[in-house]
Amino acid sequence: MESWFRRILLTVVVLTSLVIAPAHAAGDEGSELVIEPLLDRRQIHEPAIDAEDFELTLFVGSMSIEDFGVSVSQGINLSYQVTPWGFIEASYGQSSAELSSYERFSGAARFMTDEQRQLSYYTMALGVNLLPGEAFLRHSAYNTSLYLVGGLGSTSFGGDDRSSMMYGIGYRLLLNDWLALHLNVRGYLFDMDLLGEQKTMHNMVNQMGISIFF
Amino acid sequence: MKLPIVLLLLLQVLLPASIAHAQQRLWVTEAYLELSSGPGNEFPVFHVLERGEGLTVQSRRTQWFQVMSDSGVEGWVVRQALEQTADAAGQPFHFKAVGESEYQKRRWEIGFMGGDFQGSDVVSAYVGLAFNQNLSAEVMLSKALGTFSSSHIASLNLVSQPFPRWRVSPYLSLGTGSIRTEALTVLVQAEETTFNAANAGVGLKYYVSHRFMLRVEYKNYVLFNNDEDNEEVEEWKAGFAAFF
Repeated sequence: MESWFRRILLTVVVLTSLVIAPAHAAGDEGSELVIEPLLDRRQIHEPAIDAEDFELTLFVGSMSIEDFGVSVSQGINLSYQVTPWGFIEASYGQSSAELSSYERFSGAARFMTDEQRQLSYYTMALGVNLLPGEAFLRHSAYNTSLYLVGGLGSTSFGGDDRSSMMYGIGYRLLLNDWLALHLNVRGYLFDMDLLGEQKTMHNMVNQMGISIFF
Repeated sequence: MKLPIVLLLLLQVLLPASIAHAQQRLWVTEAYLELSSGPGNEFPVFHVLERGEGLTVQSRRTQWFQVMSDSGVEGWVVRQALEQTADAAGQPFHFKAVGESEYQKRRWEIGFMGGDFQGSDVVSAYVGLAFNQNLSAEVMLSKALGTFSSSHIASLNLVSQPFPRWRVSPYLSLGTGSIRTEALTVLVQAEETTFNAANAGVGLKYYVSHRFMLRVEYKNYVLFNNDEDNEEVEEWKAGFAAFF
């Protein structure tokens, strides 16, 4: 019985010494350095710096839908700056077609319902900052960029979806670190079967936009 | 159109939080540090900070950092140059360059592709999540637009890259999903059909630079339609992606 008790006591003492001893040793090391290192250990930490590679743009402008007149168009655009010279972009826009010249002049019945006259498109594109530069206004300098975009997408018009191609040129003027103004001219091309004849519609969009970087 | 506006409003609410981000104080340790007027090699150097001058890092655009010197000059410094500065503890500034090793360790991949789906034009957007260097899963949404019909294709694919370290790296993919096809209204009998589909594909991924990659692929779809024979569809696509 006694030896059993002694064994437990011994185990407890050994365990406590194991736990306490290193703590003591560490304390000694702190007060008295045997070798003073000339170089600090290099600690690499990634600084948390705000990245602003995404740009969200709201556009408003006019869209000229071939044969259907010119109407107001709105759009939204999200782009990611991959390198200083290039970005990828997803965009969505919409407009609403007027009466076609045929409907206007022939006096014939309308061949599209109002719903079918709604035009919407989305595009996935690649952009290149072709001419980065600065613009000088009074005593301030603003960073600018003339960029080219081109992409593929889908356009919904006349009640149907069609594959479309987009190309364009734009000008971006940065007002400050996170706010920019855009001027954009883009062409949207798609094939459409209009009055029984398949033709390529070429629709130009002129837009002004405002964007935020985040 | 309503959803994007809601998103934009949400972003504007969140924006002040992102502006009030941690700022880092640094000191120039080399002979001088050049400040450019914009985030790119093309922008001119307009100011030089001397050894010992202090600066604060404000934000980053691609590999360029916007800094403000203690004397109040704001400019842009490329990552390599900013590594010649140190913080208050004397630790050199370090920011990992995005290169091939980050590409190999990528977790998310977001990309766009375009091509041909059995004679129709097809556009796709996809999001991929890598489990390890060899295996990833991706959700791909495609729209195939033909002269007489348009199809929406949604698929979940498993992608295996046996040689992830190659700059041009081949991959195999297996997937399942559904295809919804509707005839254009030009046709008298406009009908809509939905089939389940399985697909197998091969492709190549190519790392370009920074966070940018290119991709080409060939896929063969099997449509489980109600006829006795399953229909097979071939698809060719090429596209680009960014990774995170």
